[in-house]
Amino acid sequence: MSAIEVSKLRKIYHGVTAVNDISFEVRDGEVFGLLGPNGAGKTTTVECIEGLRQPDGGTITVLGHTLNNGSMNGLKEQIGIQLQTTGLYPLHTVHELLTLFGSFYKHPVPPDDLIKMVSLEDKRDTRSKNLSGGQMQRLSLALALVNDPRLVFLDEPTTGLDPQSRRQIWNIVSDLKSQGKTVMMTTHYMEEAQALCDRVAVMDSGTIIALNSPQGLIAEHFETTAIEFEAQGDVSIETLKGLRGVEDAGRDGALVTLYTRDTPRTIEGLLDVAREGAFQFSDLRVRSATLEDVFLKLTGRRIRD
Amino acid sequence: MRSLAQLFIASVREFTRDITALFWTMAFPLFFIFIFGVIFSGDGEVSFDLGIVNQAGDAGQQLVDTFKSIEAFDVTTGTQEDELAALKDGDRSAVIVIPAEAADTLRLASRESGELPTGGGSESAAPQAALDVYYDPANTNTSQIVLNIVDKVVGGINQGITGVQPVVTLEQRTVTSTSLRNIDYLLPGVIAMSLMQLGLFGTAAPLVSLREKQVLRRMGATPLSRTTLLISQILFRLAIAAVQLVVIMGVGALAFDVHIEARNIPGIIGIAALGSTMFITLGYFLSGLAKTEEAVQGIVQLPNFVFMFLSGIFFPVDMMPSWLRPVVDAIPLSYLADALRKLMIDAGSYYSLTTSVLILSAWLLACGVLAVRFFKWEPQG
Repeated sequence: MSAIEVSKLRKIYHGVTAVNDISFEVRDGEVFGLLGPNGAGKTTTVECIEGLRQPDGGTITVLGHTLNNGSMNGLKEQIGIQLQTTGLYPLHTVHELLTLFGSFYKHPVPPDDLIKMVSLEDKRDTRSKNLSGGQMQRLSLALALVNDPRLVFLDEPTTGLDPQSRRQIWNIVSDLKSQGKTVMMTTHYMEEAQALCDRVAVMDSGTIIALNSPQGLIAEHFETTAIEFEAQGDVSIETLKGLRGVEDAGRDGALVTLYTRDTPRTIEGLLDVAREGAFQFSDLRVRSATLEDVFLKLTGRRIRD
Repeated sequence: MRSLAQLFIASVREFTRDITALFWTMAFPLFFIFIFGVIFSGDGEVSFDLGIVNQAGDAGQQLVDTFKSIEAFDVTTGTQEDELAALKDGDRSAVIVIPAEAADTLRLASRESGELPTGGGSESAAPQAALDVYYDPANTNTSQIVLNIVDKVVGGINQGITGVQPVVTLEQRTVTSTSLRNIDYLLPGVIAMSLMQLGLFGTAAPLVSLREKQVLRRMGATPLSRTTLLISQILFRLAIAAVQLVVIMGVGALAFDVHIEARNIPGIIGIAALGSTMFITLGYFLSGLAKTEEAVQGIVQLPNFVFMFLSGIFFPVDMMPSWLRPVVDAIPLSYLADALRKLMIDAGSYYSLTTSVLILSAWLLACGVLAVRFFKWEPQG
């Protein structure tokens, strides 16, 4: 059973196509990620599904309800929404805001339970304007859970947060998954998608260019291992591509990446080339391919550009 | 209902925790009253220079004395030419001529008042007497008040002639309630101003802020209906208007001894509710015109200044050139202040109460239509 079905969704802003005929489904109980750079159309897609924006074409079905002309009645009781920007009364405390938002739903979760869920116990009576970025983001997560929803939307939940705050949010999302909730999230962090998502749709310029589990995506595009190093001196990418086992090679400034099927032989060849004095290298490391590599391969760009 | 109550409480909380909002809605009007109160309340009673030309001899003298006993009048007597010349020079607010023909009637009146109670039946054929009142039509505001008082005095005499009530007591009652000071005049104006500013600064600006900070958007993502949200916002502002009304009237009555007609309190509440609803609706409309929080501050200043200075809440409408009158007559604040003034202190009013209610209702309707047309939920900036 699918929690969300999207078919040929299209959205145009002032003549610019932000979302171009995309189709996908989100399965019940999975964490589904929309991954892509800023401006790829992730937020537009999610907000159309949330009923906050009117699509210009296509059909959307959420928890069995087909959306038309923003008729979300009844459905809003079953979904939880975290917007990219959460606007709240600045002079209200965490507890007061959770009580207020609870009053909008038929069966609200007690505020203190939510506070515990997102570990804001010591900020219970702090006004929202005095919360740090990470605390604010956890509050906004709690607000999305105030009705104990079956389906939760998170739009860039960790953007701009420090690593520790990010890790806290990840733990909360993992908890949601273990409670059997369906989560649809957007992110432009590869490692976040890789860590949290069961399946990832890679978006670029309004279209989905790949959709699979993170491991599936990597395996689909790379049967290889990545060898990376900082190169000093003149090195020809063509020479490196000629090394044994190398499938592909890329260069980003001094950083050279070789994708290989045969790591030991490639390294052997690399050492030979360096010994001949053509160039020197440092910081050699071997790693398996990541979603970052997938994005680089699919678009020719790194995602954070 | 639960969400409506919670939203109302939330608005009150947010408001009472915001020192700036509190200052502008509560402290600022009070500040105004204190400044004006201290400047004008002392001996600064409004008095009108009244010229009386008595051509009816002793019979007219009692009428002259009656006018002299009225606090609001500074009475000068003289010949008709002198007094009319003084009126033309602006030294008199009005000139009353008691013609010689009125002597008989007045004599009759003084006898009646002296020998009450007697039935008026046998004297009912008393000749009619006409007083001539001269005034400068350009100075309508003043003239109307003077005419109002003169009318009441003469009314008292007439009732005396027909023997209904003792003349003197009736006059005194009328006279005390018409003894007006500037602060009495000003207070209804300050109330009208505060209600208007609640609609402009207290509605349009916060709404744009809620919209641009995406507070409206976040609440719109819940099952909360937009109607509930709007109703809670309007109810909250009407509650502030009620507090403003009580505080300003209370301070006026207690600190500056402003006489408020108690019997008109339901009417005062009614007209204040109509006026503030109208200005709040105007605020909703204006919030839809501004893209940013900065822009809305500029947009509300325009009606604020135009309404404040062209509505006659602080200075009489007569002081403005006549070509401005159509503007004055179009401004809702003129009617709100005028109606409040009439109801609160029983002063002579410019427009009839019916006119004021109709014009304010028309404004409310127009603002309502525009607000629905222009109001925006999504951030514009």
